Amino acid sequence: MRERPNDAFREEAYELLAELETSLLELEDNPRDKDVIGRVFRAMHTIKGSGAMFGFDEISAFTHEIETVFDLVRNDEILVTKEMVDLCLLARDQIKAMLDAAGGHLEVDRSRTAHLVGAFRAFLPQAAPAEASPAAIPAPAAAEGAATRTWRIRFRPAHDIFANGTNPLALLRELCELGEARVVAQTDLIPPIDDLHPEVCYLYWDVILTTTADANAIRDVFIFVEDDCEMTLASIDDGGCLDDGDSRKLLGEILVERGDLSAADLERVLTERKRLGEVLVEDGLVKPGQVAAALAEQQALEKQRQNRPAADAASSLRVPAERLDKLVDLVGELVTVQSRLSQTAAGREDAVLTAVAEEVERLVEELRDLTLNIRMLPIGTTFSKFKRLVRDLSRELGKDIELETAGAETELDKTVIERLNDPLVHIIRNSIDHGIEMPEVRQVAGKPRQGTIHLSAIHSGDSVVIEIRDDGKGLDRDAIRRKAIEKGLLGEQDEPSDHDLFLLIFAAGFSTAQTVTSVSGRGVGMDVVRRAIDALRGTIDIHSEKGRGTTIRVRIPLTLAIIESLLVAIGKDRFVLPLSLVEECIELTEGDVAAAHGRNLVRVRDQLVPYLPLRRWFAMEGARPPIEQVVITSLGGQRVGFVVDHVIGEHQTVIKSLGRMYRDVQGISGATILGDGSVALILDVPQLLQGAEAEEKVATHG
Amino acid sequence: MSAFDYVESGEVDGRRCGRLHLGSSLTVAEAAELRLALMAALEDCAVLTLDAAEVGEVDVAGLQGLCAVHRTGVARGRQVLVTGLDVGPWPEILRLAGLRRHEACPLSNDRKNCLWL
Amino acid sequence: MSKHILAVDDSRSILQMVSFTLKGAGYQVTEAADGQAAFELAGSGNFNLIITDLNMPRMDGITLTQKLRAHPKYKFTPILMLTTEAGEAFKTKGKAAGATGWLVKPFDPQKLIGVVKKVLP
Repeated sequence: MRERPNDAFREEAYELLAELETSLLELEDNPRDKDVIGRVFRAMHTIKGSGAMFGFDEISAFTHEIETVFDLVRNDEILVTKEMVDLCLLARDQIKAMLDAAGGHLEVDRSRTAHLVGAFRAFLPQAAPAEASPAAIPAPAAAEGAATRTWRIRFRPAHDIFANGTNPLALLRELCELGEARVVAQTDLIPPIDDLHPEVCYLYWDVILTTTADANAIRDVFIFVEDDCEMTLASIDDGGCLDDGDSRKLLGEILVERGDLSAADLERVLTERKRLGEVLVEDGLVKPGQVAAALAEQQALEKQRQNRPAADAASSLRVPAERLDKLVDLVGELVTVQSRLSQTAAGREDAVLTAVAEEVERLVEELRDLTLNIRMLPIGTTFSKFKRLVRDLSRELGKDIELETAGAETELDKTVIERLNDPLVHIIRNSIDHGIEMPEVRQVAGKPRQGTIHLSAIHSGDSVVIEIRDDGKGLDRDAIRRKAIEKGLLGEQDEPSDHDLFLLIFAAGFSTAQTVTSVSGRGVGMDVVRRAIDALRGTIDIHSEKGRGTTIRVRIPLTLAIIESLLVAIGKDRFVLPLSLVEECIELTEGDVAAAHGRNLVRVRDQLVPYLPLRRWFAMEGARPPIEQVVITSLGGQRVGFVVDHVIGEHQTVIKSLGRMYRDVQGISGATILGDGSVALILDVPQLLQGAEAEEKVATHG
Repeated sequence: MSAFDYVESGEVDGRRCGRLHLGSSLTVAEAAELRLALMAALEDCAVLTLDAAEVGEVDVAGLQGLCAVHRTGVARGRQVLVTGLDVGPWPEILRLAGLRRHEACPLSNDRKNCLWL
Repeated sequence: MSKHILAVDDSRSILQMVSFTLKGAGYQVTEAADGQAAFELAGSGNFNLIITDLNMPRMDGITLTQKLRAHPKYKFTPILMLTTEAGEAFKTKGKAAGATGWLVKPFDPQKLIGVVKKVLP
């Protein structure tokens, strides 16, 4: 084994001290000998330098005092005296004592050290005050909590920069490591090959750097080339006061700011109506590289703006959540009253009243959107909790799993986010427990030892799609099939598609795990997830490939409070369906019913779509009208029709939950109050869809 | 041992093609030799392909050499292509050097006319 | 292939610390005790970086740097100087001799590696 550097230092220091003693005695005889003076200085210098490096700070600081004196001797500023040599010998002994003490033998007499320091300082010219020892390691600049800022750096090395061994790419790399950087090379100085001086640096660079490092840290990158380059550094985004409001920085402004373009030229070009960058290049006003650099800057700023939470500490306000909920409730009531007002106005044919009603309608709509927006939160807070979950659980199971997240900034209604937490935890746990294999197993399968769970959220229309994707072993088709048959969820002869089969894992009481672990599979199946997502009026979809992994996609409506819906009527009762699920409405005549030979199928443009007669489903009394309406809905790629008496029209539905008594009513997810004060029930389309399927199956088999 | 090997590679559409093998190192130490090799190769053919696949080390001087021969080619109506930029140190170097973002050579407004695109 | 560094210092402890640190970071290191020995080694070997002390017997760091820059093999090779003298005068002197950068003693291993990375891409 190698000698530890510390021991090497002590050993060497003893040698140096022995040499120093010899040199000092020589110096006593020849106080003018430059060579001897040099040797003494070097010995002190080395002891000081390496002492500090190996943590012998006391030795280093002490030796510094003597070195300072000898530096003056070396430069003929003071003369060697007998007294000085005596003191040096004493100092040598003191250093040796310090080394011994470091070896764990003796205590050092500190008062003696102080006395010697004082004596050496007395040699210094009066004017020179004792400065702090340079051996003291400067405290690193506090960089914590620094704000992220974006900088524009132009780095233009001197032509002969290569001659002192500088590699500009190393500096660019260092710059890139400070944060997120975009480098744009300016190549306009490169001459044709015949005129090229191969050892001259022609390239220069514009770098847009988004970093928490401060200006000094950025300048430090260029510390060795300070005098050999032009380096300009400018903050293009000053933290909080990034471009107020909508004033996005325009390409032209950036070019003018950089000095690549004159304001007058910009003015002239702006009067032509073409893409600015193109025009500027065509006119030879700026180089394409400069436009590219300015564009990079524009993009970096844009990104920076998006990353910065809109809620600036100074201009935001904390409001208790209950107050917001109350506000939403009130807005909901207002929406209800407003639709009553609109209905009333429509019946009166009073121009003034109609005008007022329209005005109220507009305002209420705006108020509603605004209020719902206030409740929107980025889903990221939930995501970060999952990081910890994955870390802890994978450790517990001896697995190596990384959670990647995307779309953390996606906004969702606060309540939705809260209620999404549990089902997502369950899905992720399931992935960790059953999906991702042990590292050894993965290695054998030719996969990286580390498994990955990818969690992402993205807006899609009026809903948010959350995807949980793992690269684990995928679902075991046969095991699920066996289990489904065993649980009576599937007939022996049934051969459902993979997709349909996989969806069965969300059925009640389903669990394929061989062993029960503390993570998942403790009797609680994925049906919990199903129920939670249903309650959010969301849908679940699953894809899996054996050996490759499983993807679960959860689609959730943005808000729970108010939805756009379609109002329909059966007899005197009113129902609403979420408009987002409705594809179209078609008529259903008695003839159509007869033609289908008792099967609930309707032809929609060459496609047979199953339907569910709601009147029968809810066992409602009264006769069917001769012409009924079928509302065709689409859910997860599946189309199903619901037969109603009339379609009334679009409606703003403020969702009220049903009382506890009605919570388990099949096919109804809530209620709303209509403009005339009556109640309409909200149809639970996903649940009804399952019902329709079941009916169709019975009809087909029967 | 010559670091830069040039071979003729026939004709395409009546244009003489050549291929210059860029060897393993394109640093300032080889820059003078590289320049001569590039000049000779460009002199010899109308379509010059630079094979960069085996380059293990490259610095700013090397990048400048390639850029220079390309723009000289553009000026003389010759085509200069480079292959192998997707392997070895290239992707990282081009990112660091900020060359991958170029819209075009300053010599031309043709957007596609950049060696690095 | 790992980069080959020539470390030059008359202090055996510093040399060991430099060598120990750089080897730990995956570099190949050759040690020399003074400028003269270093110059001879440089002539026969191929180094990607030279790290040299300033004050050394036989040949000091400034002279070594000047001689290396005049050597065709080391015209563009990065050279780092180790020193306790952080004054402007030294920097100018070192730069004039052709040094790429410097490192002020005392330094910790992290700092050493940071500076090496600054000149060796």
